[in-house]
Amino acid sequence: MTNSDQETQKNQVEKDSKDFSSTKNDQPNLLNYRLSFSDSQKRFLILSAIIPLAIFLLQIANLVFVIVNPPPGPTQELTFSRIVDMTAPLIIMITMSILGLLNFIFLLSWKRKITRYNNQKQLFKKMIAGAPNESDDTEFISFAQLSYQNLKHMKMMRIFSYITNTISIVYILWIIRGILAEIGIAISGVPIPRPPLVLYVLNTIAQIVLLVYIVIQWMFFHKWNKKLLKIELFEKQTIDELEL
Amino acid sequence: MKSSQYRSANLIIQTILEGIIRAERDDSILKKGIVKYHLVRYCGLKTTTAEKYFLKLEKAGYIQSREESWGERTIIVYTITPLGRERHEWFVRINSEIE
Repeated sequence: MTNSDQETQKNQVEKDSKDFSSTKNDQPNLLNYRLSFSDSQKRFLILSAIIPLAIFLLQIANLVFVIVNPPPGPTQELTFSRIVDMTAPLIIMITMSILGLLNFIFLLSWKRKITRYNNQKQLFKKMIAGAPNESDDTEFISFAQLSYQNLKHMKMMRIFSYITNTISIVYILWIIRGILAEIGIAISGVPIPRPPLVLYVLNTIAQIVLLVYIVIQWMFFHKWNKKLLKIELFEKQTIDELEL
Repeated sequence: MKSSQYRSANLIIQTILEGIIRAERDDSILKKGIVKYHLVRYCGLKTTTAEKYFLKLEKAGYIQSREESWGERTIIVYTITPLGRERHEWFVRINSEIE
């Protein structure tokens, strides 16, 4: 990043601060220090549990099908490449499901932390009302701690999202190959067994859901990267002001 | 200073600012600010570390301190300045994803 870019971004941070100061009256609840899991977050929490679990179970069914039903045509030697070809979508979707589940676990833990954060208000009041040299052993959790824990998680998930997006490209190519094979254009010599109708429909739905999820994830991290950059600039500005 | 160190320092700074703002809002005894001992407890820091940050914050104009008598003892009470409040509000805003 050049010096002029840094200067531009620093000016943007200052501009945002001034913009915020001028509009703070429009956002009176900013420092209420009461966090709530919004309805959209609750929905995301539920979906981030249901979708990976459903896809995972579907892939178990796919795996059973692949093992039980040999591909059409004469029996072919079970080579490594054939095994990979037949189980590729399964591996891809299981990987994505695991990552979805990781996100769900974090969100669940996050919800508990928010509850703890909100419930410590009375403890804080009790502490400051007490003698100036006395306090119990309560461990408080601050908004900053919650924010940075969230940031740490998001940075990890960002790396995973890059991996899943790369895997998804392979997966999309596999889907395209399957479609071409359906319409009679063979790409490789490995015939793909046609699953039962139920599995076929469920797989199609799962593929659409995953494609939508990938797009949403890409948009989310694109926005989140901008936010992270703002935070990093803000941190540097604060450290410079405090001469730490 | 590495970015991870920026993050650790900023975490402490924002926690300190939050502690003072909460005390000013929640104080029911009209005692504006928060006693040093309580602020250190809220931040969960060692006293020496906390004092280092308090000095830096005061020098930068984020917080102010004053001495008050408490019986025969003198205690230090911290309050937040408009600059400190602005810095903290910006941090809360960006992390609350308010556009």
